Amino acid sequence: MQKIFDPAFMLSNVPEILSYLPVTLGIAAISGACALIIGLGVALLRFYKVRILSQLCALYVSFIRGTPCLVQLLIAYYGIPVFLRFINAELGTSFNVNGIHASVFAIIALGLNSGAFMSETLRSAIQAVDRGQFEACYSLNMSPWQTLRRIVLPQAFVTALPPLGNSFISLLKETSLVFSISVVEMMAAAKIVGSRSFRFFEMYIVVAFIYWICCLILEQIFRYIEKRGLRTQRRES
Amino acid sequence: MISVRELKKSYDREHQVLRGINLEVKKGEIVAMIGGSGAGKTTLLRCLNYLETPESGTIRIDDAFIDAQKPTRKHIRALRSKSAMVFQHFNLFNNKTVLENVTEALITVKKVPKKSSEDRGRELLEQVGMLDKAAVYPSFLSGGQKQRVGIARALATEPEVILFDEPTSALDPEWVAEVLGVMQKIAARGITMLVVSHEMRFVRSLATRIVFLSEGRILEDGTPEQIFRNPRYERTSQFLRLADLSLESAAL
Ligand SMILES: Nc1ncnc2c1ncn2[C@@H]1O[C@H](COP(=O)(O)OP(=O)(O)O)[C@@H](O)[C@H]1O
Ligand SMILES: [Mg+2]
Repeated sequence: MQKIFDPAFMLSNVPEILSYLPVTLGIAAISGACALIIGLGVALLRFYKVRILSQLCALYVSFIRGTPCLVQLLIAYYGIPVFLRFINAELGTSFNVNGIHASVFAIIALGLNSGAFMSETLRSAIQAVDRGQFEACYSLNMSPWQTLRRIVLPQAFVTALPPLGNSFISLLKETSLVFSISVVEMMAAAKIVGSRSFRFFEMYIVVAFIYWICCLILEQIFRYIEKRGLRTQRRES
Repeated sequence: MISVRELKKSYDREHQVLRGINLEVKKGEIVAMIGGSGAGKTTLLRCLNYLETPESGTIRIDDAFIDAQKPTRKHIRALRSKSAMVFQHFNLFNNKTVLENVTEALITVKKVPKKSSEDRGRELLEQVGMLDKAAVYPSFLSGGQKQRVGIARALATEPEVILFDEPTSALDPEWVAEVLGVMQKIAARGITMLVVSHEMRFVRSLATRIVFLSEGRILEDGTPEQIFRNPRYERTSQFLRLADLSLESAAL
């Protein structure tokens, strides 16, 4: 007689699911790093209102915000090969389109997705640094780049940390979508193990807990960094 | 030392803020710039530092020269290296300690080694009486302390002239004296100062010269004695009365 809920089966498969955690974390970390770089670049282009580029960035952010992440993943997965084949045909290059691992598309799509949200966060954080500090830098003959790197961005990052943390957490959870473009990470593993005995529910419970724990740890890490960043500020209580 | 010729500036087409400023300042002069709100005092000071871009006219500070019609990045850098700004709202770097605020430009702009810039920074903090707060972040300081750090920061790169934009007007009254004390100290060292201020104690006792700005023009220019005893325009005496700077209000 089939059990309604099988805790023993569930626990016995935890190690197998966990063995895919590094894949999930790897995709999240690499696309997170890409997202941060994209986000910063876009934020600066828009902050300085660089002609044409800042309008293109606005379009990009609007597109990402207005379309589902899953759709973006599928567009990257099917679109990038089409694009590369087009380039090959037009320019006579020879990218090996079929040799690209699906996880590369996943990282590109997730990085672009999260980067758009991070750019909005970073842009408003840069705007929140008061104009006076920029002017103090310029009056001392610091270059715009020195001004950003040494004075403005360190302050903007502290302001941006809580929403950036949220973006990273969302990103970690969104990696669960990449099984739909045939990347085998934790979510895909849960499906595969579940299908062996048709105990999907147990496996989904397992992944849910693993995601949850990871997010809690991430939250603590961000809280710690934020606290360190705020040591320069007087606590108003 | 400073020579400004026919400096013009407007933010929008209808309203010209500076309508041809001519100003010569000699080395070591302590110039108080006074005038009603919106007269263009801040704008003039900011143009001298090229934080604001004038439309036409020329500015010379020491051997740095700029023609507003054809400014180059090199000229702007040269001009800025001759002056330093002390801001009404301090504009300290919030992510840097007091000492780092002072050494920042030495390290990044003048490329002075860290050790010697810190020695220099401590020396300056000592002069403004802030050495004991060297490791503190600006948000923990009072207004008067912040402004003293602002002055030390301005002194760090050894500019030819220090531009003060209402250095005491954002301070609670109890902090004004300590900032004026520091200004008096550096004035005594012969540093040229251009100060927008309506602080009577400064204008009447420290300034060697008063410039009265009205609607983007210099209306009066002379020693405090001249301006207070016989101003050329009725508007000046009116303003002095309103700003509580006149002889009668001093007598009260
Ligand atoms: N950034 C700006 N944009 C537009 N108008 C400005 C700006 N700064 C100053 N003004 C205008 O220029 C005039 C002179 O201002 P300002 O130089 O600040 O005068 P003051 O310092 O003598 O009070 C005012 O009418 C003010 O409204
Ligand atoms: Mg002003």
